[in-house]
Amino acid sequence: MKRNLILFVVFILIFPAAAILSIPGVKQRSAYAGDKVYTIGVVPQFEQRKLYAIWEPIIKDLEKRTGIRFDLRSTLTIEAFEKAIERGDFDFVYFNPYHIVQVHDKQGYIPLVADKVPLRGIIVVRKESAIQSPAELNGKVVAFPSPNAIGATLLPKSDLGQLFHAAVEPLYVKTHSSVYLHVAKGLAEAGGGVEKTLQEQSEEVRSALRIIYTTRSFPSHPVAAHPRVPGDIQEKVLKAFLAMNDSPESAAMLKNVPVTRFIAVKYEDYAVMSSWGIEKYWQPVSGD
Amino acid sequence: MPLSLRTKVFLPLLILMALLIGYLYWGWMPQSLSNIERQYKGATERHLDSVVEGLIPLLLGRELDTIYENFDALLKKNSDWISIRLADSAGRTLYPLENTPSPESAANAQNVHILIKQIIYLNMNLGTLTVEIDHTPHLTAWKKEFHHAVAVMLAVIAVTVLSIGIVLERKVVQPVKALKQQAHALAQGKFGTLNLEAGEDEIGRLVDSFNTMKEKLAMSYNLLTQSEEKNRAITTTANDAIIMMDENGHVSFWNPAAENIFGYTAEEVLGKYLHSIIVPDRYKADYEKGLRYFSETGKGPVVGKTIDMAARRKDGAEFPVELSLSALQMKDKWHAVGVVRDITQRKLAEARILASLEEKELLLQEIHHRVKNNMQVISSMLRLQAGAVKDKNYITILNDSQNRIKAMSLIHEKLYQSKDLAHINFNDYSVDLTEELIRSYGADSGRVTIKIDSENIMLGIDTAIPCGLIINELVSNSLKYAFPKGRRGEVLIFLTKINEDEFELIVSDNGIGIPDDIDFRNTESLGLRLVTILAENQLRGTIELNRTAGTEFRIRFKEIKSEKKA
Repeated sequence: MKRNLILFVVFILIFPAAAILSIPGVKQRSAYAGDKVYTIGVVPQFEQRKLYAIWEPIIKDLEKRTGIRFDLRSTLTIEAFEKAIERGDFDFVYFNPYHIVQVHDKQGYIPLVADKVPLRGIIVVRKESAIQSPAELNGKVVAFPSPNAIGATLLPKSDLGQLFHAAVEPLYVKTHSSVYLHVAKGLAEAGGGVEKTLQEQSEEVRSALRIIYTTRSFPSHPVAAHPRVPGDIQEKVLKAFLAMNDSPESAAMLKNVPVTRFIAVKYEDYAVMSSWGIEKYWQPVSGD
Repeated sequence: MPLSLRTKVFLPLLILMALLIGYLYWGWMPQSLSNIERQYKGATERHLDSVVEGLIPLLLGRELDTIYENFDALLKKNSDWISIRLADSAGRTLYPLENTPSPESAANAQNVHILIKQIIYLNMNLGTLTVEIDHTPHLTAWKKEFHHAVAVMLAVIAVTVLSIGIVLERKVVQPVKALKQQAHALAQGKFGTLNLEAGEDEIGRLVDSFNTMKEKLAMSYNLLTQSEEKNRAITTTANDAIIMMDENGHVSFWNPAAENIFGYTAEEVLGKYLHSIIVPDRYKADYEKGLRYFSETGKGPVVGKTIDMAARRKDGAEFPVELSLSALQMKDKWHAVGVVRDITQRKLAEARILASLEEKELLLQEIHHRVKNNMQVISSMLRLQAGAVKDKNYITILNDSQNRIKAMSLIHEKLYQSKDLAHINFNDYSVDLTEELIRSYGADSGRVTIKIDSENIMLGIDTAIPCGLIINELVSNSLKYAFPKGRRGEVLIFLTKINEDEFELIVSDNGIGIPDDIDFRNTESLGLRLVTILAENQLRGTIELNRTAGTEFRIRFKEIKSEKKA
C-alpha cells in the first residue's frame, strides 16, 4: 500500500514536468538565445534531398555556433526561388551572385560571406566535337541550367551574343550537372557552366568534355542577410561562417556546397556586375 | 526371400525418404525456383514501372543529372541489375554515359533477363528504359536456402527415421526376437526359460500374453506329460493289446501286450497295413469293405461294440479274441482304436461249462422223467386201489388224490419236455390238465366247455405246482358240482400278468354257484381248504370268491423265486 502511494506521488510530480517539457520550443528556449527563428533559403542547385543532405548539417553547425535557430528552406525550382527572394521571403539566403544585384533595389540583401574562389563561367562541348570557337555555336542548341544563372547562363550568353555574335538556341536543363551530361550525351552541342561545378563532375564526365570558352571571373555565391535581420544577428552569422573555415568537420561540410573557404564580402563586390550589360539576358520571373 | 521385420519397417521408410528427396530436388525445388523467379520478375517489373513513373518528370524537366544519380543508385542498390539503358524517343542513349553494347547481346546467358519499358506521358513517347537483370545471384541465394531447407528436412527425416528405427528396434524387433527365441524354446519343450519383461504398450501386452500362454502351456504340457506317462503306463502294462489304426488302415500304435499276443514287435508293424498282419485271409474282404466305410464316416458295424472274432498270430496260428473297437477323429481323419483280448482260455472254459451244463440238463430231465413216472405209478396204484374199494366216498377220495398226483406229474412231464427244464408254458399245461380232468370225471365235453387263456406265460416249478393244484381243485369242483342235472356251462381259466411281477389267476364257471352258507375258508371240503392254503401260504398271495354269476375265484400272486439249495 505504502509503495503504491509513493509511486502515485512520483507520477503526479513527473507528469506535469514532462508535459511542460514536451511543449514545442520549451526545450529550445533553454538552448537558444531567443524565440526568433530565422529562415535561411538555399538556391535549388541540387535535387531537394541532396540539397537538404548538404545544408542541414551546416545549419545545425551554424545554430550551435550562433545560438540562433534557423529554418532551412528551398524551392523546387529556381524560378520559384527567384520569386521568393524578390518577395524577401528569407531572412538569410544563399543564392546566385547576380540575384543580389537584381533584387538589391527591392529587398537590399546584404552579402555576408562567399567562397574565396571566384566563379568563372565556361562553355563546354563534347571532347570529340568539331566546334573550336564559341562563334561556331551560332544557331546551335546550347544547354544552360536556368535562364538567370549568372556564371553558367547570363555571362556565357552575354559573351556569345556580344563578343562572338552567336545566337544560340537555349536548352534549360535545371542544373550544371545536367548541362554537362546533355553535352556529353550529345543532346546539346554545347553547354554553359562554371569551372567550379565542372571540377565537381566525375572524371568520366569531365573527360568527355572540352572547354572552348571561359568568361571573366566574379564573386562566388554569397550568404546574404535581409536588412530586417538585426545587425548583431548578422554579425553572429558572419563570424560563425568564417569560424567554420577553421574547423575540419565544418570545412568538410562546406566542401559539399561547394565552398573552399568563406571570406567576408560586401555588396560592392557584386555591384560591378550591373555594368556588364547582362541585364538584357535576365529573364524576370513572371507571376507571383 | 523372406524379409525381416526390420527390413519390412525400414524399407518403406527409406523408399519414402528417397521419393521425398527426389520430389524435393527434382519437383518441388525447381518448381519453387521457377515461381520465385516469376515473382521476382514481376516485382522487378513493378519496380521498373515505379522507376518509369519517376522518370517522367525528370525527362520532362531534362534533369539528366538526377536521372544519372538515380540510376547509379539503382545499380548500386540492386546488385543483380547488370545494366540500365535509357534512350530518348529518337533512340539516343541518355544513360549511361558511355555507349555500351546493347544489353540484348548478353541476354543469352542463363537467368539473365532484359526488361524493356516504354516511357509514355500523355501519348508522348519520352523514351525507352532497358534493364538487364541477372537473376542468378537471387536464384543462387534461394537455391542455397532451398538446399539448406532440404538438408535440414532430410536431417530431420533421417533423425526421425533413425529414432523410429531405434524405438522399433528396442520396442518391437528385440522383443519379437526374444519372443521368437522363447517360442523356439517352447517348441523344443523348454518351459523353464525366464519370463520376458512386459512393457505397457501393445508389444508389452503381447509379451505379457505370451508369458501367460507359456505358463498355461507349461501347465498343459505337464498335465499332458503326466497323462501321456499314465497312458503309456496303462498301455504298456495292459494285458490287452491296444492297437491304433489310421484312416488308411496303417498301424499307428502297438503296445507291448500286442507284441505278446500277436508276436510282432512295434517296429515290425508300425506303419504297416493292419489287416494284412492280424486278420485271417477269409475275413479280409469284409475288413476292406468296412475300412473304406469307416475312413469316410467313422462308423462301422463293430464300432462301439465288443465282439468275439478270430485273429492271426505272427506264426500264422489263429486264435479267438475279444475286440472292443472305438473311433476317434484327429485332424479330420478317422482313427480306430482296438482293444484286443486273447480269449483262448475263456473260450475253452466256456466250452467246458457248456458241456457240464448239457450234462446237468440231461440229468435233470431224467429226474423229472423219473419223478413223473413215479407219480404215474402212484396214480396208477391209487386208481387200482379205487377199483378195489366199494365205498364211493373212498373212491372219490382216491380219485381226487389220483388227480392231484396227475396234476403234479403233468408238471414234471412238461418240465422235462421244456427247453430250460425250469419253466413250463402254463397255457399248454392247463389245457392238458383240464382234458385229463374232464376225462377223469367223465364229463361231457359238449355240455361243459373249458376255455383257457394264459397268454403263453411261463412259470417256474415252484409257482406252477401250486397253480396247477389250485386249477385241479377248482375245475374238479366245477365239473363235480356246478352243472348238475345235465346243466350246460363253461369253465374259464385265465392267467394274466397284471404288472411287472404279479399275476392273476381266475378260475370261474357259470354254474349254480357255491351255496351262500359255505365259507370257502372254513369248509370241510378238502379241495377248497387246499386251494386257500396253496394260494395264501404256498403262493403268498390273495384269494377272492365272487358269487355273482356262478363261481369265480381270483387269486393274485407273485412268482416264487427258486432258492438255491445248499
